[in-house]
Amino acid sequence: MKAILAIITVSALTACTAVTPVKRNFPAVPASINKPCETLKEVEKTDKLSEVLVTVTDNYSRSLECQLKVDAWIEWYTQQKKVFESVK
Amino acid sequence: MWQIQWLLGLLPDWVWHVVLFLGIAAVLAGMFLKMVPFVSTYSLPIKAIGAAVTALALWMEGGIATEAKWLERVAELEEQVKVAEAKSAQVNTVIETVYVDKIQIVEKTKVITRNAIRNSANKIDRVCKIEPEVITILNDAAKITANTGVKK
Repeated sequence: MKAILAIITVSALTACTAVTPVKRNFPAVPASINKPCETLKEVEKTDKLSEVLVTVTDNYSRSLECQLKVDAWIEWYTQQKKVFESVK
Repeated sequence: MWQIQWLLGLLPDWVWHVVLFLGIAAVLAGMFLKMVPFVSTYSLPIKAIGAAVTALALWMEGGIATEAKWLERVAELEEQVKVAEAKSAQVNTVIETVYVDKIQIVEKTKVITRNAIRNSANKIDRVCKIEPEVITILNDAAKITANTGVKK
């Protein structure tokens, strides 16, 4: 009788472990920023400064676009991290 | 251990409320029967069985209460995840809008600059002629290459 009571008592004291079955999806990245940066253009053989300047201008634009993309990624990560951590 | 609890958990919750009531009733009956002649011999087994049933029912009641608490927590988390997903989508929209707007500004600036160069091309080209080496140097700067061109 004492043994049965002891088993019941031990069973009652057994700790419960639980894992909450809540599924979370990894946030999607906006398609427009999820592309690699374009490589810089090369200047074609010429002796005209104006033609060189056009290519340099294009490359400045590409560089700025790439900078904006990196900035957008940083912003995306920062904001999404805040949202992720808001779930407790 | 969890298999036993799972099997017992298949029973509806009200069964365990009844079992708890019966267990307590059996313990009380055992105590009462002790005072009644002839039947007093059954009081100890009834009390013991009553105590065991009460313990089992209490254990299951605890399980039911814990499960209810966890289900509540799961529902709360699911709600939070839903809100977070909506917020996440909103953040994406804002980031994409800002990015696209800025890209359009860069594109406009490029077009304006190219037009300005084209309009002043004659003047620019009259003053300055480019040596072929300049093109090579400039193109090398635009490439990712291990050759730095530095002579030792």
